[in-house]
Amino acid sequence: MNKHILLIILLATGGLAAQTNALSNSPYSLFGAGIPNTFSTGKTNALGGAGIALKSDNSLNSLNPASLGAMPLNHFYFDIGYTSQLFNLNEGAGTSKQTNSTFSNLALAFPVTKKSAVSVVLAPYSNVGYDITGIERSIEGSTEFYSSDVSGNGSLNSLDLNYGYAVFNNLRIGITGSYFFGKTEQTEYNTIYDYSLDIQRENRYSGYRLGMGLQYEVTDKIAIGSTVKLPSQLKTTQNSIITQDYADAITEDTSVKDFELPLEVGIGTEFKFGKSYAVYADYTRKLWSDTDQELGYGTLIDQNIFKTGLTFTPKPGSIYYWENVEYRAGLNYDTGYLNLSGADVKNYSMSVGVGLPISRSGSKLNLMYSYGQNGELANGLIRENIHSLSVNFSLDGIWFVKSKYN
Amino acid sequence: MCVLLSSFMLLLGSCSQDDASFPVGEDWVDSDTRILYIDTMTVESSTFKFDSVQVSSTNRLLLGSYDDPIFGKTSSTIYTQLTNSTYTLDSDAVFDSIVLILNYDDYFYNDTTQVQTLRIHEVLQDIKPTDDGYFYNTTTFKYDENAISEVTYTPRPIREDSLHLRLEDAYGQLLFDEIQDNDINNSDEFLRTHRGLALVPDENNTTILGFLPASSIRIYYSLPNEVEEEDENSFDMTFNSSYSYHNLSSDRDTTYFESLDDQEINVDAEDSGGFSYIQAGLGIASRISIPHLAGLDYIEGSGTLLGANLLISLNTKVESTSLYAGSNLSCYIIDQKNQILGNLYDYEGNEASGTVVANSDEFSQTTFSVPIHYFLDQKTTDSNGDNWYLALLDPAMSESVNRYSFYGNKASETLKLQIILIYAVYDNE
Repeated sequence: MNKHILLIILLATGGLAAQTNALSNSPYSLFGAGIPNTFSTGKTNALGGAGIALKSDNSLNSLNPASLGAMPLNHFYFDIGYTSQLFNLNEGAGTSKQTNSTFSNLALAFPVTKKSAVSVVLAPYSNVGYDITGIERSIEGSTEFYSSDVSGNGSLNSLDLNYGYAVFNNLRIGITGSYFFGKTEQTEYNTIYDYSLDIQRENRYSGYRLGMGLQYEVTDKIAIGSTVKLPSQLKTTQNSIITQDYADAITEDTSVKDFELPLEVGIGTEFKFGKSYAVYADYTRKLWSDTDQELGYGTLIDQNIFKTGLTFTPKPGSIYYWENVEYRAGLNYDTGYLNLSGADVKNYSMSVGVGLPISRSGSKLNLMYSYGQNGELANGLIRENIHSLSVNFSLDGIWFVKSKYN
Repeated sequence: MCVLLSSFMLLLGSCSQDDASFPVGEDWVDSDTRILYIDTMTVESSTFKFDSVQVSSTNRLLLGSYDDPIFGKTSSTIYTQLTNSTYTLDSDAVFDSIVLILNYDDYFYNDTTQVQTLRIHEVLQDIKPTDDGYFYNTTTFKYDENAISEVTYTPRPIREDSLHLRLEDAYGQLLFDEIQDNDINNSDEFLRTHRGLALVPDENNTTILGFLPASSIRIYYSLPNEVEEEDENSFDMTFNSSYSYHNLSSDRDTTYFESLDDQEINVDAEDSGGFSYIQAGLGIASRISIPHLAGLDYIEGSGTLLGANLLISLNTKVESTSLYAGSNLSCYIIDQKNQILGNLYDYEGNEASGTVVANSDEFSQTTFSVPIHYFLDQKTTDSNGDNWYLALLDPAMSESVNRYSFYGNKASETLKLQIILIYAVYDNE
């Protein structure tokens, strides 16, 4: 047991270290606390993000805490995800390519009783990364201009503690407590005649959030699920450092509004066809407009996300390796949370993936590729075409086997 | 466990790469920053005169006089002590002539086309610095009213290397005999009878010229046993540069500067035609006063001063090719009595000077900019800062008569004396 606690600490620390590098490459990450992370544990990334009704009976599904109620005794799950993205940014007049790679989650789950299990998930909630150069602004009192380069980075992270419990064999409930922490930073590099003025603003976030989930198996082929995440205020403090050519830097705490997380509700379904096929469909709504926060240029709007995915395993339990591989495909359509001068920043993506068995116990190496588009080349928006590759180890270990014989 | 470790390593390798920074989204950046260009700060100028200018061991000795339309009759007399290492002459040597050799250093001011008159007098007092160890432009020594010689010359400061002025033979013969007869055997004996020379320009001269301190008196003589054409032999007594200096004076009657007989006195630009002035050598300098420093309070929010420059423009109408201003200004901090407190420094720790930032022949504009950000910050924090002013001087104050006429704060928009502040507001709250 000590070994496992050590492992958790080690991984959590490693995860935090990796977090400081978490990046986005999108000007859209200027707004709020950045671009929300859409990657999760296990196979749901390849299913367009669908999986609210998916139970955690052979790998960890962290979309719904209720899924943990289905975790078999004597197993433990370990899940780690790594994502690389290639952004093609297009503003009409010009394009640019940017890549980034980052850890996307770190999770561990273990059963508590026959009917309940606990998981700990560390993942970015949102990422900030942008570099906007050559902004020309006028010098008041003259006809001249000064130039500004603005760059941002950082991330907001969440550490989730999930608990799932099977009330009946076909009804599971779950609860999530999330701790949010992280910092984002914006630096404005101004060049005014021969003078330079750098203004660095660092926002630090911390706060808690409560979530709940439910899963119900209508028949052995049909399941439904739902999740609710309560709105939450993250305490936000801002520290500004103003640096100019020769004078000492000025450091001050500037007042900033707390960042608010919206009420999120989701429902999902699972349909199984024979032993080989399963279809998932989810709908999530995030009520951003109820959060009372200003973005400056843009406004926050209610976000609707439609997700659907399909899995196919040629012959589960076959003695042939390739017949045990799970093939996956998914679609995701997101109406977006941002409205920039009247235009919603919509997002869609298509994903394909495979789950490659890597051990008899059920461990899988999940590979996923998705192609998506964020925004559009109209209404003053930027179009981002995003290629994503995600590698995800879903490890299933047998644990406490000895206890059976006690 | 192996897989765990390898995946752990993997997540540490988080990275990012850009192949270009993204030029769009500038409209989306919500910045509180405001940059303000402020040219409304009050600034005033006046002219004052240093009681004296230190002129020890200058690289140039000024000689001559001219009548300046602004500053009045300006004149420079050289006082010099002669020196030599040997005082022996062949007993058969025969005196020929004596010449004053002045080596040009290219500097001249005003009209060099006229014939100049110079009188050479013997100084009657020991030439020595004042008690503090320096010669000043005001230092004088008595000299014999009867000149050794009066010479005339037409200056060729650029075309020729040196000016050779033949002095009266009588003086040369006297020196020659004293040395040949061993009345004078060393410099102590020489200086006892010949304390020095005063080179006094005639008041109707038209130019002031610059000469190198390495100038001399030369005695030519011949040796009789030499064949046919006598070889010229000579004997040099050079200027002792440590005991040579120029005395600069001017007659300021009926000029704007008539009243400047004390360093504390200022002539406001309004009382001198709307201009302030510099005349190097004589110690006339421009004084800049910035009375209302705390004028930025009206700007809302938190801000910081990025830069502050004083802009001051030359009145080029009073200049000519021979009456010219320099291209740099020395800047000092002075107090209410016009005493120098120290150099003006910039934020990099360098001595700050006025440099030409706008130069247009078409618009007759020459504008100097002086960085005063550090000065303003210091002035604000120093307990005596209210009594701080700036003095603008010619960098060659001790060895030139360069003059400057600067527009005051009432001139046209481009030429007027003004302070430009660049102020940044970084927080509007």
